[in-house]
Amino acid sequence: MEALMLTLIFLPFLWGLLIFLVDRVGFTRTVFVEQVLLSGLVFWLLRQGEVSLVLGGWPEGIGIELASGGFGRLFLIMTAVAFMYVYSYLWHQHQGDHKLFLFLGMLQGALYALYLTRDLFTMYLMIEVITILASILILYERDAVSVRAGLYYLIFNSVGMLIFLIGVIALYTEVGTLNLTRIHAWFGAEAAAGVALSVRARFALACFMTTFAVKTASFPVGGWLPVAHGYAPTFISALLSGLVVKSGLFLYVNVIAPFGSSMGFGITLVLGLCAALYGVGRAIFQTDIKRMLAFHTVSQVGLMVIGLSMYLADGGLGGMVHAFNHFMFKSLLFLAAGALARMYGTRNLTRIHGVMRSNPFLGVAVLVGVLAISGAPWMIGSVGKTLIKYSVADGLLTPAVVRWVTYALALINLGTAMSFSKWIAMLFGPREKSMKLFGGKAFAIGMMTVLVVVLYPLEVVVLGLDPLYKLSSEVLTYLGYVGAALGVYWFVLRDKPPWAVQLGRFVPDVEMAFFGMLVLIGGLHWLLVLG
Amino acid sequence: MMFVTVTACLVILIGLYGIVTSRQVVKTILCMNLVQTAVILLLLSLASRTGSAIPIIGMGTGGMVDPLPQAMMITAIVIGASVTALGLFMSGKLFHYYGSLDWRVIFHKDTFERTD
Repeated sequence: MEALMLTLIFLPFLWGLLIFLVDRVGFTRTVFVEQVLLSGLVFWLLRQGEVSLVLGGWPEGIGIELASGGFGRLFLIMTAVAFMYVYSYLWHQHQGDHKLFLFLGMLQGALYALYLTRDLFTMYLMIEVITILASILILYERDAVSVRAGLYYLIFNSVGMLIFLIGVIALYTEVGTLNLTRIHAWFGAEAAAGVALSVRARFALACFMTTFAVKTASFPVGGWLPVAHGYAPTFISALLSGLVVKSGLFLYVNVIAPFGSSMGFGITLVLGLCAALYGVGRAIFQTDIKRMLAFHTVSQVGLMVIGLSMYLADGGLGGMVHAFNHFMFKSLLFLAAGALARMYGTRNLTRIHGVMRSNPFLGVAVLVGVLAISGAPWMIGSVGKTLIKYSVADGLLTPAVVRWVTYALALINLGTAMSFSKWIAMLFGPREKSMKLFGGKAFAIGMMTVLVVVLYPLEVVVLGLDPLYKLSSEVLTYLGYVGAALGVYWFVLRDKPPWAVQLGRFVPDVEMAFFGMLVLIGGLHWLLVLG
Repeated sequence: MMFVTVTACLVILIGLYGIVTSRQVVKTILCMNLVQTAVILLLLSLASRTGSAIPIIGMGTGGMVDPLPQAMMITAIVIGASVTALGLFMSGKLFHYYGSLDWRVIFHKDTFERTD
């Protein structure tokens, strides 16, 4: 068991290194064999149920513990799927670029290690390694915009992780262990004894919350995400937006939620709402196809954060299910956006027309992605959104708060539909030219399209949902959002009013972004430690 | 030891202030490095125990110093060095492209349209 778990972590790295050293395209093809092997290992691990072991045969609490269980299993599946589509998508253009395979292999190994470890410091280490590798991959094209995006990503995320390290120190001095199982048990025992969190524990919580806000690109520290995800190579954008950004959510479930602080959950709810509204508000006015998707990531992650803040009501189920589904459809949308940009020679949404006629395969993929992200009934996007909506209603909030959160959720859905009405407009129109997708890209996009479609019935069965529950009202609500969104697009945004163009181009000052971080650090510590 | 802890906390705050107010990319990276160093100092100051033995079995009697913080900090130093090196490499590239290391110049220069 130990050897197989370690294989999952080290095989991608060693295989990447081997590809780099051999430096032959023929050998590079074996990366697909490696991915099948890794997927098999993940499948085998999932079949074992809850697994936990301490490396090197050390007693628990001394050695590093690896475990597969809970929501971590969703992340293992996501990682396996993500690298399958990444290698397929990049194959045609980058098959001779062996350095890229080395970095991607290291990233995959670090992601598996992060999702398997039960050790707080190893978690910090893996997130830092992922940050460094993600920065290298963002700047991979080595042009001015990529380097700028990579540096912005590196600095913001590294500062966030430094705050996390301070939190680790504070928690270690309080609890005396870095083992998450023991830390959870310690918090459980304290809560059962009715002991309130000590100042040191609250200080650690404030540090972890700061890192969580930075990693999930919450308002006001989310400025790095549209810059980084918008200008990275397409397959990296898909990987970052689909998978890597969710490491913050993984931190939340494993590190923040066990504190059981009601103030912490309240702050998370506010952070999530701000991020969701800010992201969707900015996305509406974007014309750059990838930047728009990046702003939608901010918004959708905000939605997941709202779901996770209802942890006491549903154990974070809504947020995590939406994270899993978002990975699927956002990856699909990013891959499709990259293919469209390359085909049409532009990333400007308003210059792309007639996709359905030019390439029906891509048109269907885009349509499936748009329906999923806008929460259409019987698509995976609706599952997480519905779970979050009901967890808010059934949660421990006052009726007034529930009402306001419900209004905000409706506004977010309306904004998402409004923003993606531009994508619908892109599908129709005269055929511009005949365009073909190359094998690997077509496979990656096709695979994600099929997954987005077939996952809905699977989730219905696994989660025990009733697909007909309130269906007529859900359909009517969805059609209402789409109608309102199309109306606003047609009458207000179609002619590109100057104010909308200005709003789309607005770039917050870097000093403002850093200042936002300081306000967040100060605010969280004030509320959680002194409040 | 209290003096070292307070100093480390102060240096962390100075570093954070520097990150927020620096307009130069290199200064931001150096301030980040300052915070990193101060965090390491903080943990080492909290972990040190005057009069305790070194954490090797058979070396000395009585209580031993907790070896975990030192192992953690060695790793944190490596991570810090990697982040600083990568950041400085990117700064060099940015200067090559934009002719400046001022954040305001870098972020307000028009971007060309990408097609991938």
